[in-house]
Amino acid sequence: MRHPIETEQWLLEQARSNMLRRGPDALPDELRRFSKSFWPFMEPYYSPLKPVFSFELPHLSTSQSSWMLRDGAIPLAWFFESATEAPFEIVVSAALGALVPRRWQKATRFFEIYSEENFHAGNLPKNLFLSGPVNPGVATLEELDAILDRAVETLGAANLEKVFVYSPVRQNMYVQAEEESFEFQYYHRIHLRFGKTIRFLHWQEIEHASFHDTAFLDLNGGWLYSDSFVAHQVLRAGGGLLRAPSARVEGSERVPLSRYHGVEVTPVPQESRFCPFGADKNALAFYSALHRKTMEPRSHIPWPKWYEGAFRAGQKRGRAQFS
Amino acid sequence: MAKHRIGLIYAEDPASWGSCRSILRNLRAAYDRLAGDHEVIPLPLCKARGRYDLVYGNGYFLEAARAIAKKKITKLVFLERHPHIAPLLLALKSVAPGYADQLDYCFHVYGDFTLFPDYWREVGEELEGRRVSLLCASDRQKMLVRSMEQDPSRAAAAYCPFPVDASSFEFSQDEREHWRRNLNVGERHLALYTGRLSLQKGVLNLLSEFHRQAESGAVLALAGNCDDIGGPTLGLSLDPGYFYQRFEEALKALPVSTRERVQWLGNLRAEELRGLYSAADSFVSLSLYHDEDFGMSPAEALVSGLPALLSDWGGYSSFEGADSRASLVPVHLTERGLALDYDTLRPLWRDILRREPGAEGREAAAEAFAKRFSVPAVAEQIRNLLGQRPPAFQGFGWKLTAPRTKKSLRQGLYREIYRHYVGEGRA
Repeated sequence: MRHPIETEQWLLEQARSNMLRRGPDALPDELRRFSKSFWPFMEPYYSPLKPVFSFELPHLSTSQSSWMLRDGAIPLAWFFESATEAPFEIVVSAALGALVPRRWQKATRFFEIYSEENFHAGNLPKNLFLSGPVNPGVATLEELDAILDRAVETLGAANLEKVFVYSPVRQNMYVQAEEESFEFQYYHRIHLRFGKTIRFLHWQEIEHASFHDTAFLDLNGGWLYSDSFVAHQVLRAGGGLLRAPSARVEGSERVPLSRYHGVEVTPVPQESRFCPFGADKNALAFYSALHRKTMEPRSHIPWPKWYEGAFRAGQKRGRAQFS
Repeated sequence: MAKHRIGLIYAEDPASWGSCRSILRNLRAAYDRLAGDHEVIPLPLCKARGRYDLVYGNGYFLEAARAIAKKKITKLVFLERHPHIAPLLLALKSVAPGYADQLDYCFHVYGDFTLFPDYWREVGEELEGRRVSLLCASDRQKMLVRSMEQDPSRAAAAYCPFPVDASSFEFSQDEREHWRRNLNVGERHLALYTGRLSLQKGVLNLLSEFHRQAESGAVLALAGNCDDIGGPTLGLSLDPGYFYQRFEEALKALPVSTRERVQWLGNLRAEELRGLYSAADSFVSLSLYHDEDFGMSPAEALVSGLPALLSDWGGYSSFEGADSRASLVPVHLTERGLALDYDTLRPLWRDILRREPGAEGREAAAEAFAKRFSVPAVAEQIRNLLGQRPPAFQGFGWKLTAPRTKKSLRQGLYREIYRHYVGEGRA
């Protein structure tokens, strides 16, 4: 009987891993450069839901019938603006539900990251993990303040043993801060709240570490991306989310991504969610901010170029064409 | 024996790898035991400042070099690779050139030696002509490192295992009962794997081989988290998150009767691990990890007195011995890559899994293992090594930095290097 050769099995696993995540086509340099300029927050990872950014779709294989879009509000709005039909299914962040147009309603589901352990006032963690790139396109100082204040209110800064911070400066050619002191002010705001408990981490210290008893807090306004690679890294190492446990939505499906966390996918509720301009003040504020950010003069992201014509029916441009 | 002033260099910020943290802690404890005969001076350095220095200047390393010279250290011992060694050596040469030439240098080499050839080439260039010991944690690692030296007949590579903290893994009957109750093992044999669940650690194989042992009725507990380190030495990469899905898939593919007997416990704390080692009846690891220069998990299992089934690969082979409860499965380096000898593995594991559960013989086995690998035992080995002046270092040879290839596993440099891990390079 022929016994297996381990090295050959490893090669097979590598092939499976690389094949299942994406199609064989490489992304254009420009898109790769954009994602890399926020490294490692927008790094790809493997999941049965096939997580991608919508601006990558025109360059990926057409054989997939469903994608999980890791987009923040801005790329998602551009995607819906460009994709006038729904030839495949998408899973988008539940927080961006208000952006989904009627024509995509049936082809859309929502996702939320879940962790096996949730931290809140009734279950305080020993440590807190703060993470987000220092870039105003991801979170402005006001947004950072709001996120940090909520955390302090829930946890109480004095209760924490350590506050890990992984917030590398990612000011880049795409989005830059108006003020030179942006980074200083960013770190100063964290320091004001957590002082001596802060421990800045290097990526290599995160990759193989264990983060049990640590609450993860994403310093992300949700404009550029809604699904951070760093969040997965910390949660798969035993970290938990900072939120109260909630009952599972009827019809939801849990897709585990590690022993400690995963993605919960829920169907889109069939109510007035798709008419966000009604009397909903929050939705109005959200749309107004989205409009402002899309027009942001210091943002040099060529969204129109990346989406233009990519999802129009019948055209032969791009790989994710409707046919 | 001459009294040395031993300077211990290590990173003050802890490593992210659990095994590296244990190794550093235990090595420091071993050196502390030399305090009567020698003066042991800890010289922790900051990784972050070292990294900053590498980019923006050399102030931090110069400062550290001045401190070493001022303390009149006679033996400089590097307990780990961090922070970067070469700039410190360079700084030492520039601060006190004559003194730097007189010093003895001692490095505890880790399993990632082959992953950082440029790093070691740089270190080697700085050390040529000086008195250098490269302490390798296993005999096979010593042979591998020696094969990379310019002149293996005057080699700097020597054997010195990593110490294991035997007191942390002492058998406890109470813990045994507590954990066996928790795991609902009853009177069945409990086989244990601890460590990372990853491709090269062979956990997918472990599951399928465990299924082949269905007749035993044994339970398999796995303690550790999945990781996606593919095979950097072979240029194999896995996407982040892939291995977890693959592992779950392999679990689900097992028949229910087997699946029910596999318990994945995830990451455990040190005190939980101790309880689990007490609860177990045997340990198993079929790892073919290319950084496996020692094997802290099997060492912890063996120091707790457990019998262990291990691949005869890299550092694992050092655990075999007259009093040892380690059984080794031969590994072949074939034209198509590494292959476990399944004809040996299956009957060997069957015999182990058929053993009656119980703690009989554990104390004696633990004691025998501790005689070779405990902190005091390794401290003695270090004491002996320090008594010998190493030869002048001849530098590393071409094999260290030559490009690796996976195209021809039989003829390529890969074989030349890793034949030592399967015992082919033994003199």
